[in-house]
Formats: sequence, structure tokens, C-alpha cells
Amino acid sequence: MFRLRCNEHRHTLFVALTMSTSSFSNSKNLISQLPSELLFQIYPYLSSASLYNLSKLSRHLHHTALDFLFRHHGIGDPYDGWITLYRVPREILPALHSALFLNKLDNYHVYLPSEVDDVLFDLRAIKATIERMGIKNGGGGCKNLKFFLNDIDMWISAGGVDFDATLARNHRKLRQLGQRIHQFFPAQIPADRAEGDISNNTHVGRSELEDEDLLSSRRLMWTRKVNVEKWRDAFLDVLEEGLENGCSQIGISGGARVVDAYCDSAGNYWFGDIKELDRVAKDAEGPQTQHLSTWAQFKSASRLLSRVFDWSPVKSEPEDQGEATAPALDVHEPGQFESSSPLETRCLLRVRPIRVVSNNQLATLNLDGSLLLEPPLLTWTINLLNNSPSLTSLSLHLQTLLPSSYARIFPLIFIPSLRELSFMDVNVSWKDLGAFLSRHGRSIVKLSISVTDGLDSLPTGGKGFEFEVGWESPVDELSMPMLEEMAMTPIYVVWMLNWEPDALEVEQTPLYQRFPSLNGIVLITDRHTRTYGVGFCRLARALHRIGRFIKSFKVNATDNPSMECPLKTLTFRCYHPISFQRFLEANAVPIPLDEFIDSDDSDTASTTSITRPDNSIRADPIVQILSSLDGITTLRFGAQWFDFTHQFVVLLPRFAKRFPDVEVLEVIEHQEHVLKKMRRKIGRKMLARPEGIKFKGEVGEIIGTCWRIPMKLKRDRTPEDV
Amino acid sequence: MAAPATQQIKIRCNDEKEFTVDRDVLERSVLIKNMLEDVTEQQDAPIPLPNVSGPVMAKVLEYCTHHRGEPLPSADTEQSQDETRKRTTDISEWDQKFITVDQEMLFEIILAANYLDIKSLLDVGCKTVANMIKGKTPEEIRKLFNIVNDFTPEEEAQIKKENEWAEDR
Repeated sequence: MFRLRCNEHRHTLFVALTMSTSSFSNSKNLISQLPSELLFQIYPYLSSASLYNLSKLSRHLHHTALDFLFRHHGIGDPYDGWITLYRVPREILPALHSALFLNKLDNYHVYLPSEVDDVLFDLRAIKATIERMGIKNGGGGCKNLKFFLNDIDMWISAGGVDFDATLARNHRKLRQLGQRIHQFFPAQIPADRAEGDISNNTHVGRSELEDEDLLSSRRLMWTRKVNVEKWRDAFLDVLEEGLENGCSQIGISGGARVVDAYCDSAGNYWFGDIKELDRVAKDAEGPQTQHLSTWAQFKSASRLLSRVFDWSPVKSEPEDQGEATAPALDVHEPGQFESSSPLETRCLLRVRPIRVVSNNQLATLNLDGSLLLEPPLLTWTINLLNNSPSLTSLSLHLQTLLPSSYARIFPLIFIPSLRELSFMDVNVSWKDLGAFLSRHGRSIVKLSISVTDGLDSLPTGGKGFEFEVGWESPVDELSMPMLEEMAMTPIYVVWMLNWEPDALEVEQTPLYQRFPSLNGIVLITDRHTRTYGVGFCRLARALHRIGRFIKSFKVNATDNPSMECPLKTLTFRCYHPISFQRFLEANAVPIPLDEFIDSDDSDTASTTSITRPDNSIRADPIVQILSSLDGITTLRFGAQWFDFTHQFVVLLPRFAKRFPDVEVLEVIEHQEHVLKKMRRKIGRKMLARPEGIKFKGEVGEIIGTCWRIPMKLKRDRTPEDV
Repeated sequence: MAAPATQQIKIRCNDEKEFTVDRDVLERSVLIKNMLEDVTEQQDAPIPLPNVSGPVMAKVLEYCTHHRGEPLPSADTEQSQDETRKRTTDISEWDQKFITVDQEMLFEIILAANYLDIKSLLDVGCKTVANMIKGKTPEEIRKLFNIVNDFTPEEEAQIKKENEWAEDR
């Protein structure tokens, strides 16, 4: 068998190039006219530098080349409104900046690498990025800025012999980092607030949130699993410096299991192993390192908390029992602790109810597997929440071994101003949640519930069962009138796809039935997963099922089958061509060919016969999904569906017949030739001329024009064969 | 089974030019291959190829004739190729000579290969374009391909600025 033997001929195309340049003068802009999918065939052969060079030449090349570049580097889709910088190679930062500038993002996430040196570098890069996005340069004025300092605990947890040396070295660097943060994000607190105490500066002001200027609405988020044991001064110093210098939203994270946290019946809170404490208490001469370390942790935590929330643990109440044997010590005087006996630690660690400042301006609180929801500080947190009149957004993300304490929080809090509640992986019964929601009446406008792939870390083993732990309470306990009273509009239910939708079908049906005002569903795939295809298949299946649920909900609730489905707009988006391809392949079910032979479309019959075998089968899942969503009046397709665009064009004439409820198709598309093709097909055959409308937001003005295609003609035709 | 290699197929391009080609040559094109498989009866009417012009088709057929009999790349290998970036841009000697054409023809060939679904030819074309881009400055690329600058002056200034920033580090 003859085969190409490429490797034996390692020539460049120099000869070809020099020969062909002679005729270049006649050819105009040919490369820009290539459709995106062909450019995406070329890009894999190019280096990052070449791609960046290409991006400077024209809009089309800019978008496609940078899109490819970023995807290749795992940055995600810059046109999607979110940017994730995760170990961004330095050479592509300029490319990223120009993409950011041109696309005016609202949200900007930065994942910092775990190497301190890299962080120091990246801060500079980030600063440059922010300046380019900032209002000073006429940029977009990014509204949300998140920094994820990954693995920061690992810097300070290097074990073994080198521990101290590493700690010391990193400590210095961390300090440096803090200074950098300071330097790059100088405090811009208005004078009238700046004169208060330092904790005021760290509170979130609502005015700041609404401020267009990026620099006054920055936030610093620490995420990742930060083990309580590893909270050290170095970590705190950095965080404090960041906080002092202008962070206005605070997320405290640390999904670690706090095995050392303990609360005894007398209300004493412990860090550390209670057995160890007892042992030391019995043997006062024993080593005290454990205590010292836990003390350091607690001190660190309380120092942080006092910064953030204007709170500090104070001496124990005199009437407490432990007081007699051991006077409590002020946290700011660790020296006294060192001289005290182990028994004294008991009193020392007691947490007194917080003093909440009256002008609390905290608006957003993200508790991300935080200490604050561990038993030692849970009460304090509940108090905080109940005393935060301005809190509008609360997000809980919990992965922990202590589920009961989290469930406890919902019955105990009332936040009158709360507008957005989101929680991930929280073990809460529907009863508690329902009661909570009904207490808050109409104030909550956004509820989002997510289950991530963290299922394995949930407490009760066995997949599927794990899920039931979180949601096990009979849904019937959630009183339907309560939810109806609230008339929450819209409710977005965000399902992460690492769920297995198959397992949920039965359990979830009643849930949807109980959200009467549900008018939008946002399905988000986990773009970081490497199994795009699988995730997307799940999306399709989930969509399929949810769509049916919603439809049946209406039918059930009103006993009126002609009632419209409340789900009006359905958005298909796909972030990666390969995922879509896999989705199609995995779902391809051959369907009778006559379904796709459109007798009205006789003059395109030849085209149909050529493309039929391929397209009809591959497009089948979409048809299936759409067929199950009778009430949809608007379908929106995103530009990223490279392959789909073509199939869509083929399918388009049949939409009106197959989906008689669809009144408007919205196609976000930036490829001129596809648009022309579509317009020709639609305009000539059956539909009104598509009107191009600017589509801002999700995709951005530059990349796409959203073509609204009214499906008017369906009324003239009788949909006899739906 | 009749010997399919001897079967002659007629195709007609968009400029009414017709070719009569051996079936196994034409089957380098997945599009035509699928089409022929669907049509069970022998047909005298030429297959219309509305997206390809005569001169381009002649060139494509030259390629197909040279590579007839080689195994078609399977879907699996395509997939894995797509995922691994930095594919080699080496082109075999014959292909290189074959693709030594003017730019217009090169892009026509790419479009035709895409339309006809001839993966190996598409690869050759894309590699050629990539080789032309490699190692050139933006201005050189612009000249080479006559790319029209459609940025606004502000955007262009911004892009320039990024350059400076990248350079002064």
C-alpha cells in the first residue's frame, strides 16, 4: 500500500512561496474570506506568535486566531463574558489584553499560579491587564474581578525537614506579594469612609458595586482548599494587606475538612484534637506544640475575622465555669498564652457573641467551605447574617464532612434584604430551604442551586445515594403556596452537568412542578472538564428531560393542555466544536429518511440529496430535543457552533413545519458567508427577511450580530404533519 | 461484484465543464463517495458540483489521481489530530509541487477540498497557508495576503499599545 511519506521530505515551502508571490497582486484579502472552520484547520499548524501576529490584521482574523489561541491554552472563551487566567503563558498575555480591550468584559477571573515567583510576575501582568480594561483607557470597565490564588496553602504547608526554611522564604515572598497587591491596587476608599477604622474599609459598599470603575469594585478571593491547620501568619499577612488596600468584596474559602474543630456541650470551641487536649490536660508536662499550633490558628483566624467583620473574640464572660480556673486572654497578647497551662486554653477559645457594627455595609458574602460555617464559628456567622441589613447576596459553597451544621444555618437566619442566594453542595432539606425562602418572601430574585463534581467528597459514600443525602427530604414538604406567593421571577436553576441526569429524573420532576414562575433555565457545562463530549451529551439529555418536565408541569397544574409552556426561550450554546461533534456522534440515531425529504422544497432537492445522509442523521438529537419542547417560541443559537451552523442552514426550512410554536429564531453569527447563505435560503423560500439586531452582552457586539428570524410564514402554512 | 475501479462517473462543475473520472479516483472525496453509495442504480446524469469550478476541479482530480488507492483517513485519526496542536507542517515532495500554485488557486483548492471532504488535500492546503504565515511579521502577512485592515483607529492604537507592552518587558 502506497502511503505518503511526509517525514522524508522535510522541506519548507520556500520554492512554492516565491513562485506564487508573483500573482498575489490580483488576489484580494482571500484569507479573510475563508470561513472560520477552515481557518481553524490552518491554525493548528501555527505557533502562538504567528497566531498573535495574525490577530492584528483584521477583525475576523482577530477573533478566530485569538479564540483558537485561548482555547489551546485553556483560557476559555474570551467572547463569553468571562475570562479565566490560569497559568497563562507569558507570551500570550498581550494577545489576551487586546482581546479584553476589544470585548469589554464584565467578568474577569484570574487564577494565579501556585509559584510565588509567578504570582509576583503575574501581578504585574494583571495590573497591566486591568489598566487596559479600566475606565482610564476607555476600556470596558470590568465589574467583577476575582482572583483565585490557587494552592496558596501549599506554599506554606511544605512538609518535612525543609518546612521552616520554605515557610520563611515563602513568608518573605508572601509579604512581598502583599506589598505588590498594595502597590497595584492602592486604596480608593472615599475620604468620608476612609477615616473610620480599618475594618470599615473592607466592607462592601453597595455604591461601590454599582460603580462603573473597575478599580473601586475589585475583590480579592481566596479559594481552594485551605486547611485550617495551615492558616499561618504569612497567609494572613497577605490577605490582610490585600483587604486593607481596597478589596471591597470578600470571599473566604477553604474547603478543607476541619477535623480539628470541636464544640463541647458547654459552648466551648476547640481547635485541634480533643483527645490530644485531654491528654495534655492530664499530663501538664507533656509537649504543648499542638496547643500552640492550634492557638496560632485561632489567633490567625480571629485576626482575619476582626479585619473583615469588625469583630474580635473577647475575654470570656465571668459567669462561665471555665473562667474560675483560667482567665481568658486577649487574642492580641499571645505571650500570655504561652505562659499559661493547657487547661486555660479552654476558656481562651470561647467565642463570645459578636459585636456587629450598626452601619454594616456588607453586601456580598461568599462562604466557600469556610471556617465560618464550621461549628466553632457557626453561631457567630448566624449572628452576622442576622445582623447584616445590607446583605444582598449570599453564596455558600460547602464541601465538608460536617453536614449537619450547614443544614442548621437555614432555619436560623433571616436576611430581609437578601436578593440572591446560591449554594453549592449544601446539605439542606427542602423543608428548611422552603421555610427559608418563604420567610424572605419576594425579596429573593435569584436562586441558584448547584451540585458539582464534588459529590465524592460528600459525606455518605456511594454515588447516587450521596445525592439523595442532600435532597432526600420528601419534596412534598416544600409547601407549594409558599413558593407561589413569592412569585420569584425569574428563577434560574443552574445545574452543573457533572450530575448524572438519568438518576434524577424521577426525583426531580416534582421540583420543577413547584416552581411555577420558572421561565428560564441556564445550563452550564463545566468547561474545565476534559470530557466535553460527555458533558454536552448530558446537557442535551438534561435539557430534554427538563423541557418535558416544565411542559408537563403546566399541564398538570392547570389541567389545561392548551396552556402554553412557560419556557419561552431556549438557548443553545456550545463552547467547543469538538464537543458538539461528539455530542452528535454519541446521539446519532438514524431516523426515517422521509422525515427529511421536504416536498415543498423541490428546487433544492439536489442539495438535499447530496447532504442528506450526513446531515439528517447528525442533526437528529437537536430535532429530538426541539420536538419535546412544544412551547418554545424563541430559539437562539450561538456562534460557536461551527458545524452546527451548516446543519442549521439545511434544517432551517423545516423548522416552521416541525416546530410550529417557534416564532423567532435568533442566530448569533459573525460569518458573513453563512449569513448570506442563510438569508438567501430563508428569504427566498418562506420567511420574512431576517432583521439583524445588535446582540450585546453574552457574545459581545463585535463578534456577533444576532439575527432574529421571524417564523411568520408558519401561519400561512398549515402544519399538517407535525 | 462488478469491478468498481472501471466504473466511470461523470461530474459537472459550476461552469458547465464536465469530467469523466474513474470511480475510485472520485471516491477520494467523502462527499461524492457517500453520494455514490446512496445511489444504487447507475446514473447517466452527471453529478452537479455547484461549488467547484472547472480549473479547480481539474487540479483536485490531479491530486486524487495521484493518491488513488491510498486508504482514507479514518474518523478516529482525524479526531486525535485535531486535538494535538503543533502538527508537523511537512509536505511530501509531490504534494509540494502540486500545491505550488497562485494564491487564488490555493484558496480555491482549500475551499473545494473542504466542500468535497478530501481531508488529505485540505491538510496540504492548510499546511501550505500555515507555512506562508510562519515567521513573518504582521505587516509582511498583510502584504502577502492583501488583508484589509478593518479595525477602527482606536482599536488599532490599542493593539499597537499591547505590542509595546509586550516588547518593553
